Amino acid sequence: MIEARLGPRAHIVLLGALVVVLAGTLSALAPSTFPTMRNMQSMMGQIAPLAILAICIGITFLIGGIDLSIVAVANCAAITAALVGEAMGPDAGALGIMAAAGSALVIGLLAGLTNGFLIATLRVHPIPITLGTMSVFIGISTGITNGATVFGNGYMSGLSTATVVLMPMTFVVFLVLLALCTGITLKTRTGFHMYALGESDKVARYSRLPVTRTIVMTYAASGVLAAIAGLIMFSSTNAANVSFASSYLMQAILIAVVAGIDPYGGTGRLWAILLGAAAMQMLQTGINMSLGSWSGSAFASNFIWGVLLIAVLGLSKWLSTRKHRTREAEVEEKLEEAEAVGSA
Amino acid sequence: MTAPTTTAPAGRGFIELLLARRELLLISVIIATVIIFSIANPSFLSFAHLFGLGRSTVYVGLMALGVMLVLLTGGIDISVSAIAVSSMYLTTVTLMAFDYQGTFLLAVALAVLIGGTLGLVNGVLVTWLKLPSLIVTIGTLTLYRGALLAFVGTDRFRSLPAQMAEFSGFAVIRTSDNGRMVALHGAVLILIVLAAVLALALSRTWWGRYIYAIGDNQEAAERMGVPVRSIRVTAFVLSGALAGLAGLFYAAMSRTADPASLNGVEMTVLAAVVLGGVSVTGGRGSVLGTLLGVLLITIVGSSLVLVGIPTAWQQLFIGLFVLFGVGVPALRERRNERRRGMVVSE
Repeated sequence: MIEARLGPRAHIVLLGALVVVLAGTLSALAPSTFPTMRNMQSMMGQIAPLAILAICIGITFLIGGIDLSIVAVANCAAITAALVGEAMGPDAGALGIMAAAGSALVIGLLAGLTNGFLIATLRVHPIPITLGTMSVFIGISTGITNGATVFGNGYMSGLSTATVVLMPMTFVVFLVLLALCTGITLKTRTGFHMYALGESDKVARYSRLPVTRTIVMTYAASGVLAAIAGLIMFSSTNAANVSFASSYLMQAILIAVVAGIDPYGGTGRLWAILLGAAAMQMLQTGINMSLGSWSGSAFASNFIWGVLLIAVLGLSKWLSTRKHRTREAEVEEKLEEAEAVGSA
Repeated sequence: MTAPTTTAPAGRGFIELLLARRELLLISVIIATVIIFSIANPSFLSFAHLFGLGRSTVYVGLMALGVMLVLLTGGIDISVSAIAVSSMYLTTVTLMAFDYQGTFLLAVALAVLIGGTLGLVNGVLVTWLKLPSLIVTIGTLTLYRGALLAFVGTDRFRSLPAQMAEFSGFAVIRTSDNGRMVALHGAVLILIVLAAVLALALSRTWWGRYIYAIGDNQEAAERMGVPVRSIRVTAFVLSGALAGLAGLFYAAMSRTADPASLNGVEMTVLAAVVLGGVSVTGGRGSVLGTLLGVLLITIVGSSLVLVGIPTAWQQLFIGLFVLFGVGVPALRERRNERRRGMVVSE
């Protein structure tokens, strides 16, 4: 099970190849603009919040669930940070930043715990639950802000402009979070429980695994990660609104699926989100570079993402069933041989 | 473990009955809401408001019927809003290109055909490639919308073909309300007729039985000889066709064809269907429940402002209704399981 839970290797090879081909093609097409430090940094900065949201989807996929409320939580956290920052005043300095970021993270944790407790105790499918809580979080944010955009006083902008080892700080945050989540899911007991629960809810319960705790912890983590993504978005735009980033939910799901994490649970490697996010961002940059002058380019990229999602999923499914079939055929052949020997 | 109790105390019989039948529960919540709203603001019960309410149930209602069908088979369809807007806009653009002046029925046929085709694509991807329907329809949602806006156009048409525009004035009941003439839109009747036909088909035909059988246990249905793939495809095709019709009605009734409209409506539709008691894991749910879910969502969505709650808070109430609608029956089920001693404790 330990190896099988990682999923088909062919998928990762395919995805890696896609990233290399995309990078190669774009570098060949625009040798003076694409393979530059500046462009790389801007791409990393752009993808960071979305990639963190993809981790939320990834960990909930692993346990066989889904968290539809992540963008709502991210916006709720960003609005909280903006309002707390405003209340602390512009002169609060480091304390103000800590209070704003801390309250945003607490909001994310509370939202995630709510999701987790509802899903674990009601034992309803997470789609209707997180759909309901999504609506509640959007409702609260809309009610508090009256749907208007709230602005910060720029105190968070340090997060989005700072660089660490030539990489934007926000991207480093993503890498650290991804490494942390990958480590937990692959090396710890909790991670083992997550994979087991995703593989079969029933078996996990009959084996007396701590199902409730695993579910609550996973959704709580998803809530906190979403809040971090919200903080990053807020730091780069210095503004927060309930309707921001509305396409991010679909895109985060897209990255997780492209990264080979099984939406039915129990299979996948979280670190592949890095590859999925890289492919996504390069495709976006490529579209902007080649179609930038055309008014429909933003919509064309939506179209391409949709095609990519279905194509990658279909191809990976086809590859894994073909492998499965050849294995079955081998076994049958051996059985037949054995029978032939037996009867002779 | 306690001994299983088979008889509930007499006084709790009514509550139990309400909780056991989702439709009864919804009807009582709707009646309670209507009473509260009409006490808070008597104009809630005016013909003008009620007819307006009926009118705004139409497009969500049509899409909800389709989504319900797909959910009954154990799938999910997120792409309905994209199908609705694509069919509506493609139909309008085509009719305007030919400067079409004939009957509205051709527009209906065209929209239903386009919607059905897009639904067929969903169905084929889900059943033949065996991909999860949630992911496929999220993919086609962005794909259809992206293709429409990128390759067909982003222009908003305010002057529709004559017959389409005329449909917005299609009234069945006219009455006067404080000296003002108000009318119930005919599309409400069309929604009810379609819902009745669908309910009959689900309860009286083999096709309907198969739909429930597949949703309840696909493996068992397959072994019984149910043509699982084709039946699941019909659910997606009908969902697309109903969404196409919904989109056309939406454009005709608002007299505008906007390719960016109906954004995010899929979540409202899904919320209404789930609230209506349709299980997301398949096999359970009814047409009546779905329509009641749509009605409740519409009342909450459009009437909160009448009782003095700012519209900014309406999303919160919709969310709470969905959580209660899903949570209360689930809690009851858990309790029943515990009584029967079926639960595996942790």
